Amino acid sequence: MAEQEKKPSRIVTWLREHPMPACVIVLSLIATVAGLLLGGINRLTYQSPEEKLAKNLNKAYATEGKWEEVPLDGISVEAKDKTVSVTGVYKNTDGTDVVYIYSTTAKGYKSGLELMVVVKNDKIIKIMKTSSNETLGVENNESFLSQFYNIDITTIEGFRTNKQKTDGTEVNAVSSATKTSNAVAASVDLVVGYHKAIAGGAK
Amino acid sequence: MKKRNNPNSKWSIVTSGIIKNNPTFRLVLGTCPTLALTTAAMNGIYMGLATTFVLVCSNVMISLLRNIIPDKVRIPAYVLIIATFVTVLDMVIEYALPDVYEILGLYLPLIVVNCIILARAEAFASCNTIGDSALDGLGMGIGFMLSLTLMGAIREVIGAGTIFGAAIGNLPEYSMSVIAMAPGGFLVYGLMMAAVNQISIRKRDKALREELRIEELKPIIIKEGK
Repeated sequence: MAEQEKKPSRIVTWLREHPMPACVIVLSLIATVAGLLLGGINRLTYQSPEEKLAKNLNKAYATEGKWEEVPLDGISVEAKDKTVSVTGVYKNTDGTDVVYIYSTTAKGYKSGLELMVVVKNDKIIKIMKTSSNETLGVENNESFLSQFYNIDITTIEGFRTNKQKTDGTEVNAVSSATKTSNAVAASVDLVVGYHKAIAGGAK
Repeated sequence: MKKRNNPNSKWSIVTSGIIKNNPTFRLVLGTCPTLALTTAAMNGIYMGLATTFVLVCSNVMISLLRNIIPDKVRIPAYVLIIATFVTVLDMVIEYALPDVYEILGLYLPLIVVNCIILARAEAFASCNTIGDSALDGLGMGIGFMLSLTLMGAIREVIGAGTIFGAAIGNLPEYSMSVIAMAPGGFLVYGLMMAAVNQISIRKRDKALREELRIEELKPIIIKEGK
């Protein structure tokens, strides 16, 4: 090691003797290598928004069939909670079953609570979080979410938690996480309205 | 055993980051992710592993380039190297582990400005060999991960009644969710730091007593102006 320090390579000696160009050369070299590395990794890992959506849809409901986006033109459902909106509706016919997935966004404790609500034959079978900044994980709490499952949503007014004063079938909010519970219930409530408008007209 | 006591041994370099110079409780570095992410024990493991990866890679690279990076631009060069590894990790986790990416959120790109990494680059990697720098990064990373996991476990058990996501008996019904929130983070961090300080003071006193061969150390109180 001591011998190495006594005899530095010619490149190192030159860089030490010319500090100004050395700064430019070294920083440029590091930036170039970093850029090439990041470019390569980005090429390997890039996912388009369509690919991300397809991945999420198949995670919410695994099927061989192709998902079709349902146009929302002309469908107007008023949300009881103004922070909630439905961002997309996707339909898939899996054998004799008709499956809809409603993509929603809402504000719970923080904004950006995005869910996918899976409705199979007019009954909610799964609520999956796609993005969230909530702290207590209510959106993953199956005992809370299961209160929305297996109810024919074309026959009910909607959903509300025991902390909300709106109309609808009551579910119990998770204690000390009321805002997130309300946001999830409001999202599902809006999905009920949309589902009635899209698929439940006959009932 | 003798090797372990040698402060210059490879083993000492690793254990120094875990116990003696623990980044969270002894050096008080990286407090932002410590407070924000320790709502659950699993989060601590994810964040600890991510930080360990960046620490080891950046330490090795900085040690490799230590002779050619001019002193005047060493900080921009270090930040560039650290940011590259963080961005690589960010892209790979988003692609391969989207659930973990969701949990780490904003704190994953913020590893770039994590004091632990820049401090180890400046204090250790810039003046030590590649092997030693890698071991230092590993030790510091493991120390950070263990601290975060321990703190996350305490907050998860008291705040949610679960451990690594699994409920502990009827505990979820008696959970104190304030511990899982921001005030609980400060509270648990403060208490744990007090405990670690107490342990290290006792250890130091014991070593001093053995050295001086006296029974008890009594603090000398000097009152100013009297």
